[in-house]
Amino acid sequence: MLKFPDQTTLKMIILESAAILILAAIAGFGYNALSGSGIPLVAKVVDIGSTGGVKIQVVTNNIADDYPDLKIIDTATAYAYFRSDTAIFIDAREPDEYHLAHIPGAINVPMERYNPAAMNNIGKNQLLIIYCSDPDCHLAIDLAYELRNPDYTRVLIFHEGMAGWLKAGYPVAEAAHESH
Amino acid sequence: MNRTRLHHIVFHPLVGLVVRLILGCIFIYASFDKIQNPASFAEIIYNYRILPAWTINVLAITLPWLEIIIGCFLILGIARTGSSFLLSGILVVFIIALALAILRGLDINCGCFSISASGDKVAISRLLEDVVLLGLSLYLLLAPFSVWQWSFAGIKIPKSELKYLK
Repeated sequence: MLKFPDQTTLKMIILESAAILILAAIAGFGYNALSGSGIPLVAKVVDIGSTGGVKIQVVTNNIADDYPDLKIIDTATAYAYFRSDTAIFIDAREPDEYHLAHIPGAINVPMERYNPAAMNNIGKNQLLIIYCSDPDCHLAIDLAYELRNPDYTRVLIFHEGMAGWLKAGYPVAEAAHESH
Repeated sequence: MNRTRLHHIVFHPLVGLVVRLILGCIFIYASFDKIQNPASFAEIIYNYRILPAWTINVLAITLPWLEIIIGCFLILGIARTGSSFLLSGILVVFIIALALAILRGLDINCGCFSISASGDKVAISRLLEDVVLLGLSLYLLLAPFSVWQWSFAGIKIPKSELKYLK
């Protein structure tokens, strides 16, 4: 009872499907290459730690490969710097996001309206850790490149950003001024 | 009502048009979030624990565009055969993946319509939705409309069909 209508042929199915698949591949890979949020063609599965003897593995699209001249650090490393008080945290997000929650002691330098004066009190030799909201946010990377112009070279990117910090349950601050 | 009359109602070109519009709009809408957030979509695919890791990103890159292109073609009436064939195949894959996830008790993001965790979790309702959509897609694939379709063979409007439009 079920059959293809008279005008449909196997050739039509194959040709039309192939054409659509090719179009999708061109659009997909093209957009991936040209958009800012592209991902590598092959993901990397890495071990992000263990809880109770079970290894957790997650697919990561390693940002460090795209920006080999930037040093990327993970949440645990960022926290270690936070505890040892050896770096200045820079929050690259908009002020209202910063006021909602930020890493305690972090200075807000919004990348979307970059004002070099915000960096006036920070010496060029200081170690900076720049972050924004999550791994899909590009502001921290953009700010790192921007800060090279006034010669800030000791820069680390905390790539997971506020999302990773909150997920790990580390302390946050809400007010604009607080003691660290 | 005799069989031929029923046949001409069920397979009326306007019914076909409505089904095409419904499926087209659903799949275009479903693709937006995934096109804009490929990394998150790749993680969602990975969480199903079905595919080998090296295939995941290619799928995350191409599948959303497949959805939006098929959606557009369905709405425009281009290549109905290929579009509904591919869409049926995609839906079968979705149904299998969802069924496996439910059976294995995975509490993961479905990735059906968005990449955010809220409200788009793997659930039997998602699976049933896809079964309905598969039905509609198979309808388009197998139904013998000849009006208002372009295929690579050109537009065909046999005169014998026109009287049923009145």
